[in-house]
This record gives sequence, C-alpha cells and structure tokens, in this order.
Amino acid sequence: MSEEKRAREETSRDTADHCIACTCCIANCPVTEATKEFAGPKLVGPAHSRMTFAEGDVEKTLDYCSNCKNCEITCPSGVAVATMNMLQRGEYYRHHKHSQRDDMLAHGERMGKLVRALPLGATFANLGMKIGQALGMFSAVGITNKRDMPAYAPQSFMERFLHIKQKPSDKKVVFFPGCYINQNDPEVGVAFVEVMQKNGYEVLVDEAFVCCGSPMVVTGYLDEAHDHAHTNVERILDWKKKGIPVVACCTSCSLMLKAEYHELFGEKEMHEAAENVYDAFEFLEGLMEKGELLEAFKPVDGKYAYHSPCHLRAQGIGLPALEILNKIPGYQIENLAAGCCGLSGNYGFKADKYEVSMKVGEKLFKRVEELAPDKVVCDCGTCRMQIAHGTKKPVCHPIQILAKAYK
Amino acid sequence: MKEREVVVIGGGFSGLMAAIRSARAGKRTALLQYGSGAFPLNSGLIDILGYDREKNEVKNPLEAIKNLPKKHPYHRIGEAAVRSSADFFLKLMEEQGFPYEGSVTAHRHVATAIGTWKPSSLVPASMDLPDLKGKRIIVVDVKGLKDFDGKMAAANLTERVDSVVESTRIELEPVEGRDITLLSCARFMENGGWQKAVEALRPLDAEDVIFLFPQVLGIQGNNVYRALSKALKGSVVETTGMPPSANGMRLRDVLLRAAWSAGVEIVENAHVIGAETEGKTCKYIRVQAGVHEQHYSAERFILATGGFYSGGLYMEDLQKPREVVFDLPVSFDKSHWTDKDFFAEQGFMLTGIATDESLRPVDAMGTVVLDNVRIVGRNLDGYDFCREHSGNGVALSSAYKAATF
Amino acid sequence: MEKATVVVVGGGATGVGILRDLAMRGADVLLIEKGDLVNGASSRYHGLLHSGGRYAVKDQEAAKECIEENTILRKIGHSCVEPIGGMFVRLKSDPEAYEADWVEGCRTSGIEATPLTLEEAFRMEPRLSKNVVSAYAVPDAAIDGFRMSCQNVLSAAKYGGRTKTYTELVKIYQKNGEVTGIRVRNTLTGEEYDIECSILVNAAGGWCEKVAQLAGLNVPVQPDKGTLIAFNQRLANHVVNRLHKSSDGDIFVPHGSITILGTTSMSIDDPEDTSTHPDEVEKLLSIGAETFEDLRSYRILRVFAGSRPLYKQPGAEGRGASRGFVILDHAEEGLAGMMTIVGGKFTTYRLMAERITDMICEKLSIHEKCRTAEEPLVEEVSTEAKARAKKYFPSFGLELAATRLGPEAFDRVTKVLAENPEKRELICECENITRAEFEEVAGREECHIINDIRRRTRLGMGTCQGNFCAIRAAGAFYETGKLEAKDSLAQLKGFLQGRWKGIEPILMGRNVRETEMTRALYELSFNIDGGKLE
Repeated sequence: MSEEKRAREETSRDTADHCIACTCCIANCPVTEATKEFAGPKLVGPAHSRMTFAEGDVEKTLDYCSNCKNCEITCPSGVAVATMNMLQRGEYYRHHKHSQRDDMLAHGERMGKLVRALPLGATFANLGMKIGQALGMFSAVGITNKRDMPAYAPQSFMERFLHIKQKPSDKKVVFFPGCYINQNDPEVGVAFVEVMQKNGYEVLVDEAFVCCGSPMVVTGYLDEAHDHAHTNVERILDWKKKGIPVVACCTSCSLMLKAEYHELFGEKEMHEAAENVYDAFEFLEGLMEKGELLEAFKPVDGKYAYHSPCHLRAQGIGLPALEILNKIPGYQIENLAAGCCGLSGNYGFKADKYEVSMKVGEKLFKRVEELAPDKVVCDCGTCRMQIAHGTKKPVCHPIQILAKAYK
Repeated sequence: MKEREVVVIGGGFSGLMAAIRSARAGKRTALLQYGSGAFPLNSGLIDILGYDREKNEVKNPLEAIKNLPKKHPYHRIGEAAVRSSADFFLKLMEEQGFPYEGSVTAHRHVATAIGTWKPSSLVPASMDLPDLKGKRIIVVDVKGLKDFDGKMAAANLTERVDSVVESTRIELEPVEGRDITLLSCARFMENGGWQKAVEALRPLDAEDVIFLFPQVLGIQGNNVYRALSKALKGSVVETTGMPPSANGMRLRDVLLRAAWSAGVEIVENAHVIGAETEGKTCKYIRVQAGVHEQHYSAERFILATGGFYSGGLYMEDLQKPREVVFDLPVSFDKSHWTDKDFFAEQGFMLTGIATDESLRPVDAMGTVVLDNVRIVGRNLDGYDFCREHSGNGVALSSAYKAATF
Repeated sequence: MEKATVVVVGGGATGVGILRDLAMRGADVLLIEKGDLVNGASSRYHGLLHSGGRYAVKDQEAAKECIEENTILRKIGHSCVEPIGGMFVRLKSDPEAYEADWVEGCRTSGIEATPLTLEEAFRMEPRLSKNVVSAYAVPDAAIDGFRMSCQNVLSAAKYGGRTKTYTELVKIYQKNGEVTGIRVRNTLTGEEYDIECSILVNAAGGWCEKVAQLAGLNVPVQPDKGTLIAFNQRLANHVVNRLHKSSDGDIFVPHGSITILGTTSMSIDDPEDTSTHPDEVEKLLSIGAETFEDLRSYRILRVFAGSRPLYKQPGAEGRGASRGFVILDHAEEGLAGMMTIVGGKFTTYRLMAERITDMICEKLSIHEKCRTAEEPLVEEVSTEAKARAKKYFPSFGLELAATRLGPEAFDRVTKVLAENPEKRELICECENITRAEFEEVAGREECHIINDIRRRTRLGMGTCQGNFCAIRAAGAFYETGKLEAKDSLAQLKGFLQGRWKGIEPILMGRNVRETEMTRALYELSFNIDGGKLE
C-alpha cells in the first residue's frame, strides 16, 4: 500500500505507529516550554497510546495540552499528536464529571443566545461580567479573574447582517461567522461582507449553523462536538451541492471545519464537506491567483505587526493575509513570527492555566514591544484578545484592513 | 497556482540555507515545510569531512575531498562551492549574532556527551574547545538532568586525553514535574538560571579550568555562553547532546529569522505530495494543504526533503526506494543495503539521488531528468554522512550551489 | 571446591523448572547457563500459552498436556500470563474438512472451543480479514517467557536452589561410570573452575547434543529455527490462530505493547544460529496478511529467531517432528548420574520438569511430592502497595512495574521513588521504566551487560528500539560502580548492536527513519569510536 493511500485510510489514532520518538513535538510545544507540569506531547500522545493495554490509567497531565497544534505542525512523521490528546480527553470525560467552569467555557454559544434573548442583554451581561469578576465569582468556579471575559457587542453579527444591503450577485459565498465574531466582534463579519461585495460576491448566512465545536473539543465535550459537527457538515454539504463555498474568518473555526472534524471523528462526509470550506484569506488569495481579486487598494497608513495564529499555520496554506495585505501600496506590516499567543481558545481563561497561558505568550508580547506597531493584525479572535491583554495594543482582523483599503 | 521564482521543498538545514541564499539573490522564494527539519537531532556543527573511508581522521577536510570515491557528492559540488559556502555561512552567523569559528581546511575538536572527541570544521563559539595544554577539565553535570552522565563522560574523556578529567554535579532547577531534558535545562539557563550555575561553580573556578557543560547553554543565540564566560574565570565549553538538541534549536531559530528578514515566504505544514512535469521541466508541485490541494510553480525547485529520516526517501518493501516528490530515479545497490555491523558503512546511507554537477537529478545513464530541479543535502547519493562526518557540510555546500543563479 | 548434588545445565524454561522443582523438594541443586537466562528458545518464541488447540488434531496427548498446564500456569504464574483468550479462525481458502476434525479433537482433549458468530469475531478483532468463514474462542493466553523463567529462579532461590549465568560447561568428570563433577568457564572473564556433583541434568535445549558429547554420549537433536516478527502495536486483542493444519505464519500473539507473528520452521545445523533473513520476513508477512489484510501497514519493530530443540527421530524433521519431549537416563548407556531432557514446548515446561524431577528424586531417595503446580512462583504485589505507590509511578507504568518486580523489589523501588524524585526519571519512555527500577535491576548480581537489564525490564524493546535509552542506560549502569559497567562505550555499542540485529533484516518503512536517526546520534553526534586527542 502506498504511503498516500495509507494516509487516507488510517485514523488519527493509527498515526501513533508513525512516531519515531524524534522529539520535534517536544522541542516545539509551547506548553512544554512554559511549564514543567506537562509531560509533553510525545509521551501523552503517541507513547501512551501503546500502553493503554496495561491498566485503565489516565495521564495526569493530559489536561495541560491546549490543542494549539504545534506538535502536529512540527512533526515530520504525520502523527496527529494533539488530536490523539483531544480524543483521550473526550474519552476521559465520558466517565468523569465536568466542572461548572468547563461547562461555561465550552458553551459560550449557549450563553450568547441567552444574552441576546433579553432586552439590553449584552449591556447587562457585560456589566454582570465586570461585577462577577470584581466579586470573584468567576474565580470561585475556576475561571481566572486576571483577564476580562470577552465583552458582548451591542448587536450580534447575525443581527447586524439583517440590515446590511448587498448588491445581489450570481457569485455567492456562505459566511460562517463563528461564536466570537457573531457575539463579540461583529465588525470583522461586516468587513468581510464589504470585502466580498467589492469583489462581486454576495454573502449569505445560514441560521442553521452552530458553534464549530472547537471550545467543546478542548474541554472534553467530544460527543457534543460530534453532534455539532453533524449539524454543520450537513449544512455545508447542502451548500456544496449548490456550488456555494463556505468561508470563515476565524482560523480556529476554519481549522475545525476543514480538518479537525474528520481527524477527530473520521467520517467520510466530514472530509467531503471540508473540501467546500475556506479560510477567508485563503479564498481571497485563490481569487488573486486567478486574477479575480480587486487590487485597486487605497493606501493605508500606520505601522502594523502581524501575528500568525497556530490554527492558521496548521492549515498548510501559508500566511495568505500577509500576501494580500502586502499588495496595499505603502502598507507597512511585519510578521511577528513569535510563536503561540498562549490563549488557545478557552485554555487561558482557566484559573489554573492563566499563568501558563501568559508565559507562552511572553515571546510574542516581547516581540510586539520591540516592534512597537500602531496595531497588531491577526486572523484569530482569541489570539487578538490575548495580544490586547498582554500588550495593551489595539488589534484587528486583516479583513478589516482590507476593507479599509477598499474604501 | 502560486507563482514563485524559487520553491524550496523542506525546512531543514539545507532547505533553509538554500532559501536564504535564493532570497538574498533577489528571487521570490517560498519554503515549504512539513515538520520542522532534523534540527532537534542536529548538533549544529558543520562537519566538512571528518574521516576517510578507512575511518582515519583527515587533517585537511578540503584537501581530503580529492581522495573521496568518484560518486561522492563533494565531487559534484566542487571545492570552490565548499569553500564559498563556508564563508557565506560564517558571515551569515556573524551577522545574526551567533558566531561560528573554524575553517574548511582544518579540524577543531568538540567534546561529545558520552565523553569522546569529535572533529568538526565550523563550530559555534560555545562548543569551540580552547587549547587543553596545562588546563584542568571539569565536566559539569546537573542534578536531575536526563541524557547526560557527567561521571561517565569524564571517565571516557580521561582515557582520551593526557590528564585526569574531573566531574562535578551542580543543582539548578528543582527536580519536580517532568524529567529535565537538555532543552528544558537550556531554557532554565536562558531565563536567568545561568547565574545559579555561576554561583555553584565559583568554588572550582580558576583561570586554568575548562568547564565542560552538557548542551544546556540557552536556546537563543549565545547569550548564556557569553554571560557564563564573562562571569567565570575558567573557560566555558559545551558538548554535543541528545535530542532535543539545544544547539540545533538555536541554529534553527537564527536561520528562520534570517530567512524571514531575507523575505523568504515560509509555508508550514505543507505536505508536498507530487509534481506535474512536462518533458524535462517541472511545471508545478502539488501541496496537500489540509483538504485542499495547492500548486506552486517556480523557475527552480530545490529539493531539500532529506533522506529516510526526514521522509524524502522511502523504502517500502526492500525492493526499491522511492523519492517521494518527483519520483526521481534513486541510486541504490540492492546487494549492499545493510551491513551486519551497525557502525560499518551502510548501503542505505549511500542510497540517494544521483545528479550532474549542477545538482540536477540524473538517471542511471547520467542523463538529466528534470532541468529546473536541484537536489541538496541528505537526498544526494554516494555518502554515509554518519560514518564520514560530513552531513551539514554536504547540506551547506549543496544548498549554496543549488541557490547560485 | 564448589559442590552441588545436582547440576542442571541450561537456563531455559525446562532447566529453571527442574531447578525449582528440585529445590522445593529439598535437593541441593545448582543451575548453570552459558549466557543469560532463557537466551535460547524459551524467550525466542511467540510467547503463546497454548490452549492445546494447535495440537487438537495431530497430537491429542500434547493437546491434553497443554490445556492442563495452561490452567496451572495461569494460577501459579499470574503476573507472567496475560489471560487475553484466543481465537481460531478459518479462512475461505482453508480446507473445510479440517474444521470438523479440529472441533472433535478439542472436545476429546478437553479444550473448550466456543463457536463464534462472524459478527462476534469481527467485534472482538475488527482488523480480521473478511475472508474469515468461521471462528472459535479458545483459552489461549500470552505468556512472558523471560519473566516466567526468572520467577522460577527466584522461587528456587527461596528453597536454596542456586543459579550461575554466564557459566559454560566445558568438561564432565566421570569415574567408574559415574558422574563426579564438571568444569565450567565464566564466559565473561574466561576464568575456569570445577564443581563437584553426582547428578548432571542436561536440559540445554538446542545445545543438548553438544553437552552430551562432552560425556561421549550421543543425543541427536535437530535444531529447528523459527523466525518471528514483533510489531510496534497491539494489532489484535486476542491470540489469533489459523484454523488449519499447523503451518508457518499462522499465529498472532498480542504481548504487552506489541504483537508477535510467528513462525517459520527450518532445520539448521547450529543452535546458535539466530540469524533471520528478509525472505523469511516476506514469507511471514504474506501469510500473515491473509489473516490481517492491512498487516503491512503496521510498523515492524524487529525480527528474531529461536530454534526448537527437536529430538531427532529417523525420518521426521521440521513440522513433522515431535513437539513432545523425551527423558534419557544415560545410566542405561553406562554413565550413571547423567540424564538428558529434550524437546517439548514452553507451555508444558513445568510438567517436563516434574517428570524428570520425579526420576531424580527416586535416585536421591527424596520422597517429597511435587508442589510446583500448586505454589505460586512469586507472591503478587498487593492492591494496597500499588495504591500507595501510584503517585510515584508514571502513568500506565504502575501495573507493569508491579508484575515485573514482584512484591519485595516493588516495595524497594516505591520507597526510592518516594524519597528521591530524581529517580522518577524515565530511562525508557517507550516501556515506562524509571531510573529507580533500572537501578534495582542493574544492581543485581546476574546483570553484567545492558542486555541483561533489558530482558528483566523491557528497556529498549519499544518504539525507539534503544535509541533514546541507550545513553541513559550506559550512564545509569556506569553509576552503579559495577566493574562491567566501567567500559561504558563498549556497553553502549553492544546494546545498540544487539538492537540492530533485529532491525537489520527488516530495514524498511519507518525503521529506516529510526535507524538513520540512531546512527546520526551515536556515530555522528557522539562519535562513539572517537579516539585520543592529539
């Protein structure tokens, strides 16, 4: 059997057999670097996968893996290390009870819906979070009070979208906003619609989409994430049939839809659906390569620094946002190239992981300080939160720069 | 289709060197990485040629190249490229604040983690051994440190030098949590731990002492080495080490920065799965980027995917090894695939891709197969880099030559 | 001069079984072995504790012995046996008629063979070929040959039974048709000395013929080499046998973290010949792939071979030769006190030992009855001790260490781990061996080279095949201060060379990656042959 054929047929767990213990994952794991408590990706993932026959044991430090994927990015042998860890974590929580903290952190979508159902819900929720933080209510359940919880936008993206007037077009994309853009940072979604309109595309949304499941996977709600995957995959396949691609601006959402679904759950439909999903700048770069991207940019002033999210780097598509932003006349942007930000979705919100999370981000913060940009640009919402928290610099999504250049 | 002028496949030492040189030559260069190269295993020493076929240490590596078998890649690379690539490398490292010492015409000696000496040509400052005459060597072991045994190293060194090598054991970070690897100890040293080392070594410190450390002197550049050298009267020297090798990681870090600042576009997790060719030209290569396939075209493709370890070559069933990107002809002697003696010259190590003098792949008849493809590093056939100690030397000089325009 | 009433030659399963039995009955007994324990066929086999199913048609007597001994060994050697159960599967291509004979054979031999629906079979073994047409569950199990033998030695020691490894028999002294003593050589130091004895038991397996020759006797033994493959993972959950006339490559035994596929059968001249050839591997793989179709996609860790000592009967060789055993009392040929036991199989080692021990005891006028079937080899580590130790051991490492070490050593190791966190370092990360356990074992008198420690701990027997633990082991062994450990580079080379032996014939797929790395480390980065500095 050829290596390629084998790669298609094997499950993530099977890839443990490829591990030759070379230590690339250990050398490049940001959590391993930040804390001595974590046994390290190799031991927790592929090495232990051989030993489960011996006893019904649990690796004590499995909890430390943040699913940032640097192990998989740097593994020369194609071992799905982080995926194995997430599967193992999911397995653990099939037999163990979740904490209230994990429940809250994994289900931001549920909370968001609740907030939106109340009049002035967002305002009160934000206020409530401030008060909660001040009174130590979060730390009581194990959520750090050292950083702010993401604030709810006055109107969600889906609410804003209803009021956006678009030029209709035969060329269409479906936007997958994801929880963070929808609830906390709808400007990114609005900018996306503007950019697509400029390029002659009409943007659709799909009310039936649910949270991609990334926060559930990392907190061990694997079965629930599986349900979400089914819901989303069914919708994506429906759009695929109509010939309309699904595009996401959040790199963790796009990684989930494009890769993690089938890596975690191994269903054929997930792979088929993934073929119809694109990261926003991946899609735009595709247009650029075909000569279909509107390149009539107006200059954008200021000094910018770019942070590449780990979940983008894992996609194997390079840094398409940088490629495109560099086309803007006079635009100054430098790649920070300083590794993981440390937040990893909801990881850095856990009280016991806050320090680790900040330690991981140290190099990035330092690099931002050195470069002293006016603004830090990053495709990932949680990375932006962490950078803002760690450096006090303003942050934005690259699509917002592009929208500006089109104005 | 992504159109680039140069596409380098592979982000190990030779790939990064080729990409840096290409970009500095003004070429729009993309570097495609799958994994992170062999850096965690790489000592970071640039050996040109340590030993001849009879396993005698050579005096002048550049001279000794002349006596290598005809098929050896150095003959294709040529002495001139070996010499200029070393100059290029030394200058680059100097610029990046991570200086190397040495030349291609002589050997320096480095201490290994098991207590032997190893000849090498270009050596990072931290591993460069001073004159041993009249010196007292003390091996510094660290409490709880894995992969290094100071007493064993000292005993073996004693048998290989005309004096008694001592050892001492210092306490740095508390032994708790995960095992202390060389890399984690190096990180501890980087974050101020070196001061603890200075305190612990103070009682033994003297002008005539050489402190021989395991490979733990920091992970970024040579800050820790410089700080220690300044704080201690004795000399500070580092040995080679087990993976994850701190010096390999330092070298990677320096080269990645040099690549970025030269304008190299680095694409991570990009699995190159094949190529589209037309006649003797590669039109584009196919990259598996998750579920989507992306195509990269280029005027020149530099194949730096490494040998068997790095996955550039694959032996499925003992019948025929395969080159995984272009399916190039692989030069292979089936009757000499292995030797029963593990440390003898191994046929699988000689297995690789035959090229012409421009490093273009050739078939068994010597005819060029692809005009716009260059082969560098461990992919090349005809040398057992472990036995002769020439791995990074061939990698460097072939990368330099392949990125000459 | 050293003395023993009985000297047993050969530290294989049979020899240690006799040692234990004799010691338990009160005889003064010494076992000598020219290498380490079980370096012959007793560790170089698939590690199958036969249910007897394999012999149900051809040799019902052997089948009955197997099922009886299987039941006994599970009881007395609890920590050596993985009671995973076994399965016989018939493929489309296997003759149907054999199945009925086999079912009948099992019934008459007392082997419980439960028919499985195909659905059940695929649930139990999802990777099984879809060409399976019928399947039965049988009480097969996996057994650790090395541990079983070590525990026999430990148990014997409690009763005064002595053991000398790396001690080779070089001469047999006889006087007036009676054995009077032997001359032995320490194979590590070359030192020779005499031992006085009145009974000499030749239990040297494949080497029986050579031992007998020292006394001028003829015991024709045909060494029959079997080659086996060890895979990196457990690719089956149960022992899987092909339901057909016994042949090559038709047994899979999951064993700890690995799976062993065996075997071949080839007559050879020299029992020392444990070489393997890529052709044998290819043969095993192509036959094995009939049972598990995606077999070739699994990483092979290594390949190894051992030779079955078949007692030569005219006209019978290879698989036709008897797997049964014979006991020869050479008094009948004029040398009193000399006996040979040869043939048999691992599963029935205890029974063989009991039979010959009965005969020896009669000569020695010992009337004690055999108790080896009732008394456990070692006591088990208590649940309380394990619970106390849990927090000091690595994940997935506690049960394994407990079964490897037994109660006393386990307690010592736990104490060291508790008091000194430094000793919690994992020397072998593939098989979860701590520095404390390594030191416990390395310090034992019988450990002279790293390979001795390997056999007692599984050091270097997992994924990386010694690549990462070699340097740690050489260092930790050096630190014991043992004389043999001083030449650490020779220890290191010997260990790596030993690992290479099993990899060299199958240097393909991911093993080439691993091997290129090993050489890059030890030959390049560590310059293991590096000489003096000029």
